[in-house]
Amino acid sequence: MPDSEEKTNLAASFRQTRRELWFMIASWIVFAAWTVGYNAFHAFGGETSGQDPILGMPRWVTLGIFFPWLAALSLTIWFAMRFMKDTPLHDCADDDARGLESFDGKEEGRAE
Amino acid sequence: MTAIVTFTIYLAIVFLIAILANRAGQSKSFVNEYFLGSRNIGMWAFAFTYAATSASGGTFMGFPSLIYTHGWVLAWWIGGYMIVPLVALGLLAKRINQVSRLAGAITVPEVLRRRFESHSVGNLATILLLFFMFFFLMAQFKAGAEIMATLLEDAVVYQGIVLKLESLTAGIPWIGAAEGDYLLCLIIFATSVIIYTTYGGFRAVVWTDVMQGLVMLVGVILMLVFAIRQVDGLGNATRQLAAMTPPEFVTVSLEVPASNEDQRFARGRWIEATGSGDIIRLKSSVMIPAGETLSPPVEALKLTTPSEIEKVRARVDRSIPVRAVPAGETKIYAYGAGQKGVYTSAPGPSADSPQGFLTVLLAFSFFAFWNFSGAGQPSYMVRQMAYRDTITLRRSMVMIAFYFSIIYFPLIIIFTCARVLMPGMEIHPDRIMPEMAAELTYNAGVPWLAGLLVAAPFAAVMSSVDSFLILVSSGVVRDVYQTSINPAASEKQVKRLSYLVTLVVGILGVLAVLHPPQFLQHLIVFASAGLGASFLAPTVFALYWSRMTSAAAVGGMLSGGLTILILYFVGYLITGKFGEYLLLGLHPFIWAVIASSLIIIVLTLTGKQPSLALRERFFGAGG
Repeated sequence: MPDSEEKTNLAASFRQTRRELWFMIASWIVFAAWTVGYNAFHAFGGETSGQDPILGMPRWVTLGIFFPWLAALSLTIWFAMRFMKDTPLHDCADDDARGLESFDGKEEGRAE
Repeated sequence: MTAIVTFTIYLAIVFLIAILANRAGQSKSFVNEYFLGSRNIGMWAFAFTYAATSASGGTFMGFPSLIYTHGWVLAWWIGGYMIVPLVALGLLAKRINQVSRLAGAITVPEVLRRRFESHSVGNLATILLLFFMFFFLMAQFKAGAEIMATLLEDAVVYQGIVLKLESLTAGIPWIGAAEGDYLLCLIIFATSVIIYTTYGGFRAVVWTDVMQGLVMLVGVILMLVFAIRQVDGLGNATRQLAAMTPPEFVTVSLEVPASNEDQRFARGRWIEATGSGDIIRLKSSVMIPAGETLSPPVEALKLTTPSEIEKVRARVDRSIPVRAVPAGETKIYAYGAGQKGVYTSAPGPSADSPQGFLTVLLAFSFFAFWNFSGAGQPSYMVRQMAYRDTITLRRSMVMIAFYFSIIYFPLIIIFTCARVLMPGMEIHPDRIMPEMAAELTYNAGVPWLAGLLVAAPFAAVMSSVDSFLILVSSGVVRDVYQTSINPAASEKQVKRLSYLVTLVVGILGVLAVLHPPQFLQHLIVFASAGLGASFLAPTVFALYWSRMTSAAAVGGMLSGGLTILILYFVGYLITGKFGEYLLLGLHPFIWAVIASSLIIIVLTLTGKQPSLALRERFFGAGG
């Protein structure tokens, strides 16, 4: 059981991680909308075969997959190096010693 | 032969790494070291083991076969990978590492067991993990055997051993029905992986992943350069693809002049039919006994694109005049037959589906699937429990983002070029990767490099099999034996059992995969979906919602896993083949995650709140 300072640190670390989670979910929505949205209107139909490739790829692949891929790569780098914060991961409990305790009789902890 | 030498050297290095890993872990606690590398994995190792585990037999065998079969639309199908490093690691990596340390947990079921202080949760997680993971193992074993078969097929010694093995196994139920070359390669591949995984444990798996990850990287870059040069630029390949139409599948009997000897036509042989002038390729071998002139019916592929027909016509062996007599129905593509442009646009040609390969809703499903199913895979979760600190995590995320970009997008380019360079591979699409490696290096005048290029998918398969073996082994040893059967087991007992379980699981995997389905990717998607559906929502809620109850965790896992099973079963009932049912056009994974999340929310809100002590243990002050 962590002491009170550890509990406070753990709570702060949890809140930071949760912020990062929301950012990640928002990023996924943006890129899903870009990729699926653009290609839903531009990737279908035989007429795409008559268009000149861009960067050697069909136009819809370049604009609807390749460019967002580069943008997602840039965002990931920024997220990892700037937005994500270092937090303590806490000392590891003794794995072997803790591996075998019984939870019999306390499957659902009581509400307090 | 040089390819075999290169490949043998590669295998020798893998075994050397396993020996070194075993020595490095000698002084540490066996369970923590064998299953989790003592939670001390650094940046390079974490990034490469994560990426290499992700890049599996599906990446280098199933995915290329789909690109070859359906064209550029696969860029959209796999597009979700653009944001996988951010989503998959952003979702769980920090919290699961933290919680597993606070709990002292070594396996994913153990994290859940201790987070909820519930054996029911832990036991169910173990059962689901073992069940779905076994399908993964099957797919990877098949991929490994296929690659090896392609590499060795021309070696005389190998052909002799295959004949001997076929005569030895003939008549043995189940085993005897497997093709000799496949069986031999399966045995060699499985034995290699099982030995080094059993001997070296998690650390060997991680170290070999680093080496294998580098091999994949180099292999893909070389193939990309060769492929683009040999098709005279990517733009040229795309324009040629735009003019292609899908092939047809025909059933014919071969009519030849009578001979005093048996006449054998090997699988894959090109034949220009006398009279019609059609160019066809045999899907299986056929033999015409001495004195006879007509073969039994055999399935074949018929090219329909003029440029492909001209390219192949030059390669046809005309030593024996052959007439192809129709002996059954001609099967055309359900979507795309006779249409130009289907290989460069959505939905992509499909032999079975009138809607084509990829609808908009399915594309959306896969954009979610690759990200969230990936995040929900226990094999990735366990790696996220093993890195050293958050600096390691952040830097690794950048490395993985570059790695995925360099692997996945170039693969699309390489195998769209393969359509131009190698017509008619639809007869055996899962072999396109090793065949393409051999073709590219032969054309480039460096056939010895084929060994390295083929080692790339082989490395991908190995790095996945070893990870899954360790995961399944830890599930049995840690989550079943140590928890429920013999909590007082000595380190020596645990060690012996770990070795034994890894070995037995490997052997069972080999037996199960003697007669696998045709498309690897179907198995892999099923197993990924099952694991993701069972573990994603319960794990995410468990890590971020302190109020969640153990009943909700059980409900979430069961509803997720069962939704996948039911929708695959319905798919089988409707089509008669192993495949999913797309309810309202969406992949079963989406429905499974929705069902799982709803069940978790409802059961949590209607259940008793966990104790403050338990909440504070994992969420800090205030719970």
